[in-house]
Amino acid sequence: MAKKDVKRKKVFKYLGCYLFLLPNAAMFVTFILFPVIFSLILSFFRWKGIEISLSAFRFVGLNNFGQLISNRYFWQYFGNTCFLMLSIPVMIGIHLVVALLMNRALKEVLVYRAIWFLPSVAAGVAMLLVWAWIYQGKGGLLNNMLGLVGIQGPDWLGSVRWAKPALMTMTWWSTAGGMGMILYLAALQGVPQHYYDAAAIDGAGWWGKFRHITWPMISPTTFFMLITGVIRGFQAGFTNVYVLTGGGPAGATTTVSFYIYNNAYRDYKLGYASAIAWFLFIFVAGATIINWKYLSRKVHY
Amino acid sequence: MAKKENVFSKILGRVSIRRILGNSFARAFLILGGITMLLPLGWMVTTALKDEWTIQNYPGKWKISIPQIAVKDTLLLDYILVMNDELEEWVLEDFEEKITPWQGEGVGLSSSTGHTFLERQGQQKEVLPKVGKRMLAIDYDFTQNSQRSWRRSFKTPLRIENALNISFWVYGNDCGYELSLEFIDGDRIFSTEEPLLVNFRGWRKLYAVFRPEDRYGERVLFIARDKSGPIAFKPTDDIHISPQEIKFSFTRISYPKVLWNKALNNFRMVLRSIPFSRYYANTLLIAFVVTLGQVMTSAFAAYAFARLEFPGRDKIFYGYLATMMIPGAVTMIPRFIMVKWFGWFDTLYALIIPGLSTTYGTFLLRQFFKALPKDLEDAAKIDGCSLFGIFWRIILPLSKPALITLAVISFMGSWQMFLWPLIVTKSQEYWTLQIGLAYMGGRGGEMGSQYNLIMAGALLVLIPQVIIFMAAQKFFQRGIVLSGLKE
Repeated sequence: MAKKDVKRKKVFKYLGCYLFLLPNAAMFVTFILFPVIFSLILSFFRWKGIEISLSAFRFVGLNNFGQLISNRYFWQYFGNTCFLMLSIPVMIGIHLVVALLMNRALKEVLVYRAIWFLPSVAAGVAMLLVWAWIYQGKGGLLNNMLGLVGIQGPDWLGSVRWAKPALMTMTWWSTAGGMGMILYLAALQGVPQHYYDAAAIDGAGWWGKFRHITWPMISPTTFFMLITGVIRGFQAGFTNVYVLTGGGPAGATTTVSFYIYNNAYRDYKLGYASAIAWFLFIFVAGATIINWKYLSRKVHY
Repeated sequence: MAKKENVFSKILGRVSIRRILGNSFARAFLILGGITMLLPLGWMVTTALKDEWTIQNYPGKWKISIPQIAVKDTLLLDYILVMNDELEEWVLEDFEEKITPWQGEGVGLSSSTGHTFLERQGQQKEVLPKVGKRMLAIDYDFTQNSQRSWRRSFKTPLRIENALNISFWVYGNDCGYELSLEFIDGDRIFSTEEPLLVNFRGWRKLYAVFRPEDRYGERVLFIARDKSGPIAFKPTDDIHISPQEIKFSFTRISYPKVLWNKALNNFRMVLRSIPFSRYYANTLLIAFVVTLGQVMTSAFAAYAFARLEFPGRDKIFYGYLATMMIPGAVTMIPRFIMVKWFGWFDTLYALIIPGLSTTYGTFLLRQFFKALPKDLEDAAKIDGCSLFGIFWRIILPLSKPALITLAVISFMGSWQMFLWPLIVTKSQEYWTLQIGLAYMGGRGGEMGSQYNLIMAGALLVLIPQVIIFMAAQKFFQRGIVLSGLKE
């Protein structure tokens, strides 16, 4: 009797545990796990059609991937994405410099922090529209300012040469004092002061201190930002491209994300688009593993 | 090195010169950078206050033009058209043949050569008629009386029930007078609901619209209403013979009101043509429900992962972690198909339900719950508290900071969500702020390159957002640090 009671109690206990998990797990299975599997299956099928029904479904094996790899435009778009990702190291550098300066005991540092953080809270389409207006060839802020020194600027977002740098500059502006900087600041404040004191006794200068104490101590943060930056970078470039350039001019700003959008939701090539998405995942995973393997050794925890 | 510093310290007291230099450099950098941060926002605010004329004249200026009151000036009018709901048009007046027969007191003439010179502040400027060779020029002097009107009677086969709008060209001189219009049809008088502020420059076509449902995008300038009540239909075979009359009134308004109207003008125009309140309601609803859902489901699951022991716990958790690296684009396509299957396409369900849980949030809360002390929980267990009781009464109150952090992150995430609403909604009714804004001002958007209006719209979205997010900044930053360092 008593044993049975204990057993029942145990069942109830586990039941309770699973009940806690249930809402989240149900959502997870429905909206993440199932889609992942579905998408993988879908990438081996051709599925074109406005109405979404199972009848239009045709198995094509690896054709989608083959088509993708032999698609010249895809590689151009992939190149665009990689080019835009070059902004990541610069961004990390900006974060670090700003964090180092903010970390000096200035009295009014909170004011600076608030102002520098402002672009991050102003994020969204509204801010993109402001940039569209800044980059506008005629009457935009940038060309007005260049006009003061006698330079006739181009229509920045409409120029094959300048559209990508323009998008990158915009990203730098909007994230310079944002989350990455806050992360670095937290990391810098976590470096014990006595390390610096000891280094000062040894006669280390500013650069020595940075090189031998600060940089190693904050390397986990750098590593983290690089990894998340790369993961995000591969998937980035949708909203800004959609709102500002529409992928143009001449595909100069079409990113992989935008290409997926065009294929999936404009042309309804859902199988092909899934294949691109998985291809992207391979790159994300590959880059992450490489980063992990080669850089994690240099990180001091 | 150390010695050298000592020497400096002796000279300067306890302040080191290197430190002063370093701090000055930091200040200079942070201030210059801060200006760079503020510059686009400033450009946005000033643009939102400018008029179309300033926007379309190059090179662009920072200065916002301040309207002046010209108490003596000339009003120009041209080409008055009335349109019925079959889009047939009648020209009420094109000012081509007639030169003199203006009714009403002291009406000026359009010059016979078709050229009129406006004189303002000692400068003369020639104005050409908008349509044809002639126009109406009315000299006014607001020092004498504060209103000036011009009326004209005519006959058209038009039945007032079928009138759609009256359009006409006005040459604005940015002096800030108000324009109102009366349309008299027999014993019935239609008049504009609110007078229009003529604070633009140059020719502009204005519409007085009889039925608000037939609005003309941002060109809708005022709505005519029947003073004698709702429009009643007359029998169709009734031949219309009652005299019709149109009356324009120009009224002087006080200078503060001119300024106030000028500042609000762009915002009013935007609000009239873009259903921002709808977008706000949608966005807020989605953000609140999604935030609540994410915090709840994540907290429950995180408690199970962090504090309970049951078979398969770690395996499930690793399953969660493994999916975190998969790009959103992968899962979004099947999700889009599922939304279609479920019949949620173009509804708010599609925007809310798939967002109700988050693996990231579960991970964040699990880390936090794991770090909580176990003693209280054990004590509660001994007292016979149920699992749910422990969760509700002990774990949740202890993790308020983490919960708030997650709530802020979720709220921001769903507020700024763009791609998902873009693909699962079609009708404006379900759009969020981001989509509505992109539709208004993005590439090929509704407002083209009228950046004064676009910036006004953007500002309407951005101001509440900045207030909310700035208030939550502390939690947000803590969340980043929390999740960033533990990963």
